[in-house]
Amino acid sequence: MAFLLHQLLQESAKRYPDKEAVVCRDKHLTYSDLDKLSNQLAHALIVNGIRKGDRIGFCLNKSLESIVSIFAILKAGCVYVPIDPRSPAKRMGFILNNCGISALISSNEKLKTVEEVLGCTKTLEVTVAVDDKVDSGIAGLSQIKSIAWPEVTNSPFIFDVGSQGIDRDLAYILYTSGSTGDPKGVMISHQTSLTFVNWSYEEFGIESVDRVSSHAPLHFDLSIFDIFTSIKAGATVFLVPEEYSVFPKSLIKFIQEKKITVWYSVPSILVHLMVHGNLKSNTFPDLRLILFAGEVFPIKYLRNLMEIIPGAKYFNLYGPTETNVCTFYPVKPIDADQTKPIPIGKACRNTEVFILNEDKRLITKPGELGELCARGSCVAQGYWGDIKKAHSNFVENSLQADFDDTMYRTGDLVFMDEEGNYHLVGRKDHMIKSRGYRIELGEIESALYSHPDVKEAAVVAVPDDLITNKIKAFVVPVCTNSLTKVEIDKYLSERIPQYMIPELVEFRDSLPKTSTGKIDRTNLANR
Amino acid sequence: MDVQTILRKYITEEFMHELDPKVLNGEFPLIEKGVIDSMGLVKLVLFIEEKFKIVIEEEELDIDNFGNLNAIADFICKKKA
Repeated sequence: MAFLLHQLLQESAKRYPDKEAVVCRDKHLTYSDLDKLSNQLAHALIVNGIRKGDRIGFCLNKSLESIVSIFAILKAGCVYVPIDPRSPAKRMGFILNNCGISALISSNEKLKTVEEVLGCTKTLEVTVAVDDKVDSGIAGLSQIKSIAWPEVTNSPFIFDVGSQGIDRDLAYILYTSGSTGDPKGVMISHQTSLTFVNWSYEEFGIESVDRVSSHAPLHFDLSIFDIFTSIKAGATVFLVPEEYSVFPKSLIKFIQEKKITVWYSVPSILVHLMVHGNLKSNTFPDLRLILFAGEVFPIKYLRNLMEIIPGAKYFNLYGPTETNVCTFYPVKPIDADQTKPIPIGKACRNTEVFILNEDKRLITKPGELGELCARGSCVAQGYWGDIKKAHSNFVENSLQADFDDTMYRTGDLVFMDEEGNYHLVGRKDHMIKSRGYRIELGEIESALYSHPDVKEAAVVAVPDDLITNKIKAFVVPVCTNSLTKVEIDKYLSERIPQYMIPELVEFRDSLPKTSTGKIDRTNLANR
Repeated sequence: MDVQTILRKYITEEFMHELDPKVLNGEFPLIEKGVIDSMGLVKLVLFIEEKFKIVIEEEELDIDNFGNLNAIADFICKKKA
């Protein structure tokens, strides 16, 4: 029984060596190929000085190399840190330095655009380019050993791990939006990850005949299901190239031609297919399972989707990155007159959730509102660098004091109904969802405030039918007319990801205040 | 102003913040490089329809017609002819 994530690959490679494990565009790797190639990359990393426990980043588009990287890093006993290739250089620099990255796997093209950042990352020792040659500029960076892909493919592929890792070792760190302005790295161990992988494998009956899409980026925890649950089952993973998501027609064709049987994504992309792709009935005869998570699925579109694809089973999955998935709801056919959203359901097997009120007491009465908390092996190990957990929602379980037991306070306000299903009502704080992305409004405000011409700023969410929320910024410039939206967009794009940049910007002479002198966000949101 | 110039101006202003506008030549792969994502495509389509007075069908939204500036300009010219 696997206790480390990469053992899932090793076990499946023994059972299905010649089966396609990963497919990307017109190329693929069999289980045997993936096992060997990840051994080779792990070996190359170790001979170049990488040690057990090192954090190793990879900044790659969806590609065979990205999946090889994941397994190689794990086999080397290290922690993988996926970095969004669309990340601005500054944000990437923050992440690399924050977790003390030792090695970075990327393309020469990307490495060149972040050369300055690499030079400033003191812990960086090795770069691995997925190209045929090392770029001379990167090679010139002092103290950094640069290798290219031929060194990997020439490495031995019988890999002896040496000292075995244990399930408590960290497997990966996923960075999410931080309210104080800097992203937070959620640390996840093999054991925590396998809790989700094993649950999803059993709950959804993933088999080796399944053809699973990998739509979510590798720095989002939806990818854990796409990659690891599929590999555990000996199924085939079909990586969705990023540009396919832009054209509904291309994505629909992809799902049809690859005969995808299992799809997991945020609702926004499915809504996009229906609204802009003219999705018709009987388009996906092979699709047996549709999982969605990350945001509320607008009920009218979900109902419509279930009519267009009646043969599939639908599940709403809920959980912050800090717990991956902690509750889920099997969606039943939706009445024509239903307007309220579907529930987030009940706890996954081997996970416990409960509702606490303001005084940290347990709420058991149906209908009563409180904060959803989760405990169990699904809970992450905290945020990198936050040892004292001073500013986080990882806290001691307030319901019992007999033994050490961490719980995670989700910050989501929920109630339980008479049937025991939880329903999401709102947030305790300023975190919002937009297109399934988790966004701390504070992170955007922080970025705005760092601009010398911004005197005051507030960012609010504007509810939207299609993407849950749009983002609106109110800005008070230091001098009137000294700022334009274009300038603000440009400035922010160097600091925060594209999906966090406010769609709407309103310039004001001043911002309304509450009686205690704080910015009156409710007033701004209601305009 | 010709079609490509109008497009280049709009795309540079709306989408190319971190990238140097100089890289935006006719062949630059806008979609592959993530300059235009799915929300961006909706915006771009609305802009083109309004500016050039054409109607774009959903079936016409693909990488052949929108992959780069050359392709988009060609597509618009064909629609107007």
